[in-house]
Amino acid sequence: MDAVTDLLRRDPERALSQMLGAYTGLVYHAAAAVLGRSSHEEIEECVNDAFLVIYKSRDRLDFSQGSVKAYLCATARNLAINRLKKREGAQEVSLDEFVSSPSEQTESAALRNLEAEELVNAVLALGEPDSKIILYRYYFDLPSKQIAKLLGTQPNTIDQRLRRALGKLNRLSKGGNRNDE
Amino acid sequence: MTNNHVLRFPTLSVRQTQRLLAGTGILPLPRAAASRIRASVLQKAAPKSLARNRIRRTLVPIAACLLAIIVFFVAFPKAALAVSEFLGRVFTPSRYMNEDPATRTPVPSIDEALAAAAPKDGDYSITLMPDLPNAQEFVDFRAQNGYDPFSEENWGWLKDIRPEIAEVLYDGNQLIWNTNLFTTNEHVREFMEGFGVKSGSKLSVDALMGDVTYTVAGDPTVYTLDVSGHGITPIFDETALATANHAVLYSDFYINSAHPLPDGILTITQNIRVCEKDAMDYGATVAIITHTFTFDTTKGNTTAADGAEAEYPLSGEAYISFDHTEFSEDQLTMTKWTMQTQKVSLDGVKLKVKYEYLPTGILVHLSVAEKPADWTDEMASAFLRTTGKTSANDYQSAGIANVVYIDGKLIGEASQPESWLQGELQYILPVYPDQYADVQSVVMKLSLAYLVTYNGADLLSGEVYTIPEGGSGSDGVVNLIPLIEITVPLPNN
Repeated sequence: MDAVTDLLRRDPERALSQMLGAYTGLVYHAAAAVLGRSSHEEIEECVNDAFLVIYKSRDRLDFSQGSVKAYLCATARNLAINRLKKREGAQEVSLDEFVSSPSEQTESAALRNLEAEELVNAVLALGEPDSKIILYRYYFDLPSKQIAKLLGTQPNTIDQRLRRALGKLNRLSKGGNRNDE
Repeated sequence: MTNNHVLRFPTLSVRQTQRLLAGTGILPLPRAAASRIRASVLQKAAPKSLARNRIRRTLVPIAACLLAIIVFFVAFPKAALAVSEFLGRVFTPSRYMNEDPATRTPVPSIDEALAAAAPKDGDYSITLMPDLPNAQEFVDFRAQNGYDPFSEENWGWLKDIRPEIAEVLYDGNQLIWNTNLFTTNEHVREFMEGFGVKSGSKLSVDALMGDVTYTVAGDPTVYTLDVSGHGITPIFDETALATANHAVLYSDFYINSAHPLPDGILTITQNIRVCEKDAMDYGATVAIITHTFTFDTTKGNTTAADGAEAEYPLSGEAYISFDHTEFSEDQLTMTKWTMQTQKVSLDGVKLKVKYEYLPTGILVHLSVAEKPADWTDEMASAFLRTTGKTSANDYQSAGIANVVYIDGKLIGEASQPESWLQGELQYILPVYPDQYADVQSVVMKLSLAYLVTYNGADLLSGEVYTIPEGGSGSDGVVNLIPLIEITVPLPNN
């Protein structure tokens, strides 16, 4: 258990302050990736709700499955996805429902998890820096220029690596070896 | 624009997210957005006991403030709009331009600026992907990334899009415009697919701004404009979407206020990239819309009053909290990241303040004009960071707090527009040109917050805290000392 997660159990108010200091950027970009970057107010509402729901659900969460950071990002994405679904007429449900459950066992969820698991494995198998580039680009929706700045390289290098990494992922999804070129 | 890429992450469990994010540290966020989120979350999360105590502690001051505000509104009715905006929400021109003109709350001076720009459409042309000079690049991208080959059957309708300039906002400091892309309702819905709308079509389409240039009459030079924020504005309301006959492309641009756009009529040529799925993927381009229009910069360059500038020498001693970073030789890895607090002399520090009187408010820009020789760049940069209040109405991070008083009455912390400036601060004060005559004084009271302890380290006694790899929380105890009071010069006063 990391320090912030541990602190959330012992001193929730201090932990919340630390969480906001450390993770606001991550959670913001995770929600923005789903909602689109021009939806400033909706993104901020999702981020606010993610922090609040994790803070208020802290006693019920299983932190052996993931850290506060993971819970925050997963929850923010779920909240953002729900906002999109709402426009299709889905019913509103309690905020607590959006904390990802580690034990979803429905058939469809199992299938989704299988696909997600394979994807996570494949991305991590790419190794650094490609796995991080994929994460920044497709999970956080950061443009090449910003990824380049974060990784201290040129935008066109990021584009080239992205294309190669996507090619590897495509081959992996078809059962190929990740080192195949 | 949503994350509707070639590769999309499905809903991930906490365990999968944990694996994916392992080793991912802090991602940057504009300070204003971070401050808003922090204040909102801490306010809502305040436990009931704390809330009750706060109510007791602040009941009398709140009553006094309400009385003062009521008196203030009665005494200065024209300032009421500004103050209600100030207290009600963070106002930025980009938000105004993202709202539907038919339903947004009007701000008269901004509407005047919109009218003064008087945009007029010129010619346009639409080039489908096969006719673009670098068509092969797009063909290859589609083949390599699982897109269907381009076909006129799927994409021929793009030729029938009619672009039309909707609104241009230019105030000498910011340039924002919206372009309407008229098409059928079916295709508008395809533009909304990325936001989760089910169009019933197999197509999903998106658009972003490509190259943008401008020319001025009598000058053969073609100047470029650098786009900052851009994207299709989502239509969330199903009733509005049912009859929508156009998608709106929002775009804003970097303007160097030291080199504003020239006076007069500018002819803009914008190249809008229309892409399948997500326009962040350049290779997914299916058409380019080249559209020209004109607008008038004259009013935008004519501020409500001449800008003002002043320098304020500081003196005495203070503490500055600052971080220090070191990188590996290849600049790819951060090898050291520390936080410390150091006692410094303010003698020799000059604060430079610039004021711009814009239709969108008074823009205040703070920078350090002069610093003592023994100040490092990191210290100078840290000196003008911003701090924010917590739910307990105190500060937990180092930096400048700016509290604004109008006519002697406390208004609140100054609002900051989105900015990535380092070592400089910007504020937008919601005092509009038609209110200058009614407001007697606007005062910014600046205080400096410094860290006494940080994550348990006693910084005041000289301890240096090493931030672990991947970042850490920021549990700080700070002291706040008054720095300077600045009276904002008002035109007509």
